[in-house]
Amino acid sequence: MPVRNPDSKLIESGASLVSQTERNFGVVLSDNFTSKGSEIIAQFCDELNAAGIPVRRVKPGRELGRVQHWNWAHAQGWAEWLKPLFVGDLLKPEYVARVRQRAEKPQAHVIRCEFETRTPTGSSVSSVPFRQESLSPSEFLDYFPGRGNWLGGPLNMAYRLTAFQVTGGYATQLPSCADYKLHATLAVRYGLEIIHKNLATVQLHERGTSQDFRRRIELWLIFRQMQNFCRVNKLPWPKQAAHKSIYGESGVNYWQSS
Amino acid sequence: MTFEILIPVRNATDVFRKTVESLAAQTDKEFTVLISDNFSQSGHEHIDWALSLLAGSGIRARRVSPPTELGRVEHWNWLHYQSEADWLKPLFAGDWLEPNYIQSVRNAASSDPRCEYIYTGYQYHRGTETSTTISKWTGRFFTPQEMQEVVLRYAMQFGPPSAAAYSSTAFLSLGGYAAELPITADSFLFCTMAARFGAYGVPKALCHFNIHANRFSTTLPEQRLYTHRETLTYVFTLAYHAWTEKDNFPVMGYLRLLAREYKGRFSGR
Repeated sequence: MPVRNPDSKLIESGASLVSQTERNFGVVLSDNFTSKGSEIIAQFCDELNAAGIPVRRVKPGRELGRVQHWNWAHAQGWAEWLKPLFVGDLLKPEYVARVRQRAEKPQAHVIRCEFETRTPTGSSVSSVPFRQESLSPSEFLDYFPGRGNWLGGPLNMAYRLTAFQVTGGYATQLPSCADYKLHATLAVRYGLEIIHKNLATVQLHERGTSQDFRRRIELWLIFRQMQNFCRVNKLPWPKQAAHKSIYGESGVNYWQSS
Repeated sequence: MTFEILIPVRNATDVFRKTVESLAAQTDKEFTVLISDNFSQSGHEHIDWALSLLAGSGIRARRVSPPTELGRVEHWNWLHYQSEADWLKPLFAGDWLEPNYIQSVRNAASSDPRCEYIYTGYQYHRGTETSTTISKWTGRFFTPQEMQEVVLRYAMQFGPPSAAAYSSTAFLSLGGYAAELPITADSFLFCTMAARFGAYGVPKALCHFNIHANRFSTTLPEQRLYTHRETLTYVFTLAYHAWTEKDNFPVMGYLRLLAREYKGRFSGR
């Protein structure tokens, strides 16, 4: 959990961790030089410790940029599997149990579940455009990027530590789509495990319509890199679908109803 | 300040010995060595020999191996995450360092508290051909603003990974080498580091970049087309980031850089 000046939503996230039916996990909370809200962090740690969930507080040596901090926080994790969780994100009580069950598959490196998006105007639940529970890298490219951003965000993803380490982390140069690039790269490298159940909730407060242009540029840069990855690894990159994804209606849009 | 040399190895050959001998010959021995073996099928005896030589020289060294066989760039990344040192220095089998390398880099790192990325000049070796390259931006700490302009005008100016050393925080916060760009992953990372954190260039050729028979190199003719293609991808990305950060943008210099890369790409087809 990367945090900086957290508000009370951190306590809500903590409560969702305490509510897990499977408690065999730890929490790394990385504080990127918080100047207000320290008492909320202390309360969060107390509540998790009281529930028997070990919390380790870490802090980078100096103040980092937002995406830089995500990368650094991941590097502090020692567990076999990592799951990013941001302030305000909520996990359903069976999240850890379901992910752990799926992680027992030896080929599982990246696990995605469905999630609910709550905005001031309503909510929607994600769904993927297929029924399989596992996709190989080439099967993943049958649906990505042509079918839009069905991947989601950090909230509904968990991955092996080694998968994160070898891939090169979140792209700090692409702040609007750093998570999208990481998840797509992981999936095209390792394939994807899918849990067809809504196990998490993301709460959004403001709509970033002014970011749409930047997202399209970032998508183009991401696809250029992924196309190169596919060329090197002899995977079938869907060039036309990528163009459609950038210029058509299926760009990255977390606000799009599913 | 703890300092660790990171050596990714796969099927080591005789050239690895020169690399390790150059470490044993360092005037400053306050460093450790981490050798990662990416599922070698041959050359294990060279790694055993290296560990023995380093131990005999009073240098702590250990061997690690990733849990599964990794791609070349993926292996570099994995190895970096295995270190707990404050400063990291990649060194490839076949490359070697001058005896005062560690001392010079340590001096540079302590010369300015902002210093997180240090590169030195280097000597290029291919068969009997040798040449020396020393960057123009050396002798002091160059700020991120200064380096931003350099990378947008000229792209990579910092030499191979064997010429680089950086703080662990700098590496971990950027996530590592981009596995999607296997030819230019190092250039992309070093340009990003320089533009984000600034850089210190040591104005001496303290490392040797050796194109030996088993080496993958971007300078080989068959790689040129893809090198230009990957370079264009990462310079677009660097420019985009500079634009989002509202940094000073050398428009004409950047356009000249793009023109050079496009020309190289199409002439290499």
